[in-house]
Amino acid sequence: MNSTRQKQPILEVNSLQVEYPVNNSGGFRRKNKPAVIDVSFKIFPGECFAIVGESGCGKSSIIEAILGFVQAKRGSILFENQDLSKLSPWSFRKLRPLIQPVFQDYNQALNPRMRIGDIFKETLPVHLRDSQTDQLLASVGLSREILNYFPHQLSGGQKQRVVLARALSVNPTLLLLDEPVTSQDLSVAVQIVELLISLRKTNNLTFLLVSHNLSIVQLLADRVAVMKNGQFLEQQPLAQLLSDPRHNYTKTIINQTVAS
Amino acid sequence: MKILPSNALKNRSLSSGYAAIGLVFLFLLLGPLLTPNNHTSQDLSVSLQAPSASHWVGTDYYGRDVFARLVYGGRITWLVAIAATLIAVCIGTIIGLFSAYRGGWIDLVVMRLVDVMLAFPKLFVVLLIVGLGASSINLLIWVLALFSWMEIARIIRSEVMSQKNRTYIKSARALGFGTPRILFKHVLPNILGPIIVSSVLLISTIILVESGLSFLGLGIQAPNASWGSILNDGKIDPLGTWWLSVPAGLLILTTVTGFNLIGDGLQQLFDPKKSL
Repeated sequence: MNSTRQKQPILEVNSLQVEYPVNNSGGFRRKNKPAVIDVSFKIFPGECFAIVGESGCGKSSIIEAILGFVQAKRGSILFENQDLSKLSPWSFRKLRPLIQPVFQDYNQALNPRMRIGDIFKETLPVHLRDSQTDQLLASVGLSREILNYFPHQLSGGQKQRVVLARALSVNPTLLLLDEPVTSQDLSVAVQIVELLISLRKTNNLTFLLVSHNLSIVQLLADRVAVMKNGQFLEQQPLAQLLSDPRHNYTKTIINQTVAS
Repeated sequence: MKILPSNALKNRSLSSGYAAIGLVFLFLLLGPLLTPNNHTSQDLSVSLQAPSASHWVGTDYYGRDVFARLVYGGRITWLVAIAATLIAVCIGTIIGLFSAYRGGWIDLVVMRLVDVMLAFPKLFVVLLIVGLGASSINLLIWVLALFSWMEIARIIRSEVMSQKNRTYIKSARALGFGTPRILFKHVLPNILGPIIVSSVLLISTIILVESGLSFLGLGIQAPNASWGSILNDGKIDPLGTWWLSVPAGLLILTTVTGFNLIGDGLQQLFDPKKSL
């Protein structure tokens, strides 16, 4: 861990605040409800940083803010030392492939009207298309015949593998994993986690993992932040968090994981 | 896509719609082969003759063959309706797509413009413009299109709103795709169903408006014919010269009902939840 800490962080989030408008009083007064409050963290190249917390605590909002889908109310997000909020839309678009999300909802993550082959065609350069498609499919454990299928003809596990392969096709450095295995059954979830572990090694990837499930986090993460009601309660290396949790809420999560 | 005739037989609305439109289409396509008469040549010696072997649907005041006029008039009615619909759908689709996808103040301004356009009584505005301008088929097509795109834009907007927060659109944005690519390659193919349904329904609306204008003498001008202007020819003595009003009226009825049935049928196929 010490060696990674001496490197420049790949992602640095400082005092991030994200708010969503909520209508009350029959829609006449608009109020903002904070979803993320003063969150700061750094992720170093090659590591897996995880955020654990219950549903609705603001984990996914952090990912949405990093991707630029929601505007941060306050704070900054630096990717490879570039402040994302200060980039022009064009520069941000150029940089986008380096940060790839893998969403929880794999059923909606692929365009239902496109064959899998066409989905890969969109991101791969023409002259390398065949060889790179083969390479990508092999890396996520899929066969070539799925290229002719539409997303609805694939199983949940296959869809999530296609989503991973598509994300890898643009050579990202940072993967944002938003509950990547939550909707899968246990055997598929284990396969996807194993796949993520091997992809991280072979492709030299950095992960930001968001999950409500500490068991999944334990398998992947180097450092973990515990989040509740939009705030980080604590962040520590995984081993330290498990052996010496500082916050009661963290203890509750650990106990629940052990019990299950 | 289940809009091909082979699959349509299972859907009653769609099959009856296809049958009605198919019959009228065949009539318009093959009509000129069935009659030697020209739709514009006048012969006052045979004015207002009832149907006979030489004039299957009789003649009008100027002795013109009504069968030929129904065929050529129908072609013009269809041309105007389809051309105006295509233009309206293109305008409505582009405006609806960008307005919804961009959101914010652009969406707000565009949708208020749509509200204002929709608040105008369409028929009267079209009447005014066509009445003031030099009447021509091109003008008619453009005026009808420019007052018909708003409904399409609204439908497209609501469909895009429901698609744009789906994960596959977010993934496309995250991959760095540009807005035109996301809209035309990802969003548009997923909302084609509602676009096709509303286009088909718009054709029948425009046929009715065009027929109304021509009936009032503001649409297609003589010597050209349209079903509306043929109805107008028969209005002085509808019972005495029934061959002027009844066949034209039946053709308008069949066409409008046919397109509406196809629209309903397609709606049922694309979105079974919305059908009764």
